[in-house]
Amino acid sequence: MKKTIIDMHGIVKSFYIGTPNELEILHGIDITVKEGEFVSIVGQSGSGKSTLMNIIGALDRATKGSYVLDGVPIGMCDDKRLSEIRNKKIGFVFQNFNLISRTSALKNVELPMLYSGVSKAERTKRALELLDIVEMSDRTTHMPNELSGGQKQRIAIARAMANDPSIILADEPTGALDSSTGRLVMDLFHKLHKEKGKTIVLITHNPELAAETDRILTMKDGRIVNEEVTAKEVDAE
Amino acid sequence: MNIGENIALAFASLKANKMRAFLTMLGIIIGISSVIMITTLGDILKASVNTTVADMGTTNALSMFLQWKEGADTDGYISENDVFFTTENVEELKSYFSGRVRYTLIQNYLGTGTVKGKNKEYNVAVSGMSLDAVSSQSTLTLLEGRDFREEDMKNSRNVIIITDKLADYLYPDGDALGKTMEVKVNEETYPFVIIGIIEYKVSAMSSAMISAVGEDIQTQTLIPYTTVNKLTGAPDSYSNIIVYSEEGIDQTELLDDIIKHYNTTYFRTNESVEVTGLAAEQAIDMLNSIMGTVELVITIIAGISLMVGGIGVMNIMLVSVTERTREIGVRKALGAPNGAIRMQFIVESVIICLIGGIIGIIFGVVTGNIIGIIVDQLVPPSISSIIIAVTFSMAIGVFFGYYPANKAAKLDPIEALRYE
Repeated sequence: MKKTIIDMHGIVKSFYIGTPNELEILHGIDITVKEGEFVSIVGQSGSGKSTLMNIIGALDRATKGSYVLDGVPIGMCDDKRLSEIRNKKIGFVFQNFNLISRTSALKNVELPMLYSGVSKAERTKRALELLDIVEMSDRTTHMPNELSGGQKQRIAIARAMANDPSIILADEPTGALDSSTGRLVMDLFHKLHKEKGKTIVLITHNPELAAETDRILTMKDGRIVNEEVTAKEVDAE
Repeated sequence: MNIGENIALAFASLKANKMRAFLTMLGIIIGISSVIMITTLGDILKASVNTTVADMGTTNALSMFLQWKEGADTDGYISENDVFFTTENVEELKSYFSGRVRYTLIQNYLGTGTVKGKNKEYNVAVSGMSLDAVSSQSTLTLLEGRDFREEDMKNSRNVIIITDKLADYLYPDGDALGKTMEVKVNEETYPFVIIGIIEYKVSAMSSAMISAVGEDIQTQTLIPYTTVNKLTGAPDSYSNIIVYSEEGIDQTELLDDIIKHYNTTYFRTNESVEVTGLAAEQAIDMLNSIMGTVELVITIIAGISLMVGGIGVMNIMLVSVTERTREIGVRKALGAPNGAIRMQFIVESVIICLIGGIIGIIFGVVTGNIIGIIVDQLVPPSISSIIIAVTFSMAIGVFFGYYPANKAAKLDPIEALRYE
């Protein structure tokens, strides 16, 4: 029996936009993701994908419902604990890369380890290893503005892996890339999934990319309306 | 995340905006350098007052002078019927207060004049002084020859004591003693026999004037005060004298007693004038308190300029936080706790202020000492004011950096990540 990484029950998220108005974005979401799964969440814009991602990524708290991430009940955590969870348990990959400008590729990868208090020598060693995995060893001293989109995204993925998180949370990681570099990035995710056994949650509106994952969750109007286990994975099991 | 990493981060951020960082620092540089310069100048002034006072040996001097009586009906002139200080009443004072008064000095003035040298004329100031004027005043040091004697005074002899500097000018062979020197004062030429040579001394104040004018304006020469009276036909009456007390005598009390003594013994019948006086101690205290006030006022102004500088730092830090909103969002998403973000910006602000402070200190010490060199009164840089300046600039960094840093720390990561 594999460990459960994400265990969500009845997640509701609403925003107060001035009393008495209350806007409910998520209407009770149940998601379970096991260790080593590659899951995609698809949906139109406005379906609540981003809000859900923020909750999964511990950037935001749910209004109602329970969320346990790798054994930690997120609802009980204060801000400091949440940042610790983001640091250690979650690896973010953003659509627009979000590398820190004027900071070398190596330093960018080291950043999460900086906040988790890893020693400098160890940080550099680990960052170099990760850059090797994403095949960016020859670009360690480059600044983000000297790199192409695909290269930036590979650096960002290396950064997401820095503290060996329980889950990699990728929000439209190929959204800003052309299809061939997007392909390379997707191949990298598959590599991390297969070779390193990483748990990956991919948020996308591209059904073709979603089809490559183990399981597709389709969102619409703040609900999960469809859950589909792809044939490929069934064969593999 | 330790402080070293924060400092490296701050430097990287400052390097990215060098001009902006420098302009921001400028406010702090100006503020701190003016504080340091002012304290250096204050030290220079104090040191120069102290050396002047030590030079003059006047810490136990009382300056006695005449002043108009309150409500006196005068036409602005002291009348002939009024009593002045005289040789007689000054001598009487000395014996009356014996044990408390060490020495009394009558001083008058023949004027400024010129002495012909080999190929140049030299300016001299000719002062009249009492018996034993050189040996009784610690400011004067006899190098050669002798002091004024009883017979010089009694007979109003044409004898003169000059400085070694003037002696070197006039008699480079070193045989000045016993020579007759002709001094031209107010179109009259007076012959004087040189009986003594004193050390040429220059106070910080006059040295400032010398360096401003480029040459020594005049050197001091001394003759008996009775000789001045003889040459000018002035009566034996003086409007001021200097009284030197014995060591360890209460200056203020002695001053009061002398004033009372004079006013009851001699000046009671005077219609328009009375005696008053000032102890050097009081004068120094007064000078120090005036200087203290001036220093305080300028320090307050410098403090205001520092505050303006600090507001500049705060302003630029707010701009920096806004510019880097997205970076802050990313850092938070990667697990930076609020404290780390706050520390990052506070360290940046402190570094700006600290660099500004250090540049300001260097600038202030240098300019202060340039002035010190000009007035020939070097003072060591005040360590305490440097420590205060460093601490204060860091405090400004923390104080004015806290609000922007806290704003950064409290940003909502989701909003920050979405910031364009």
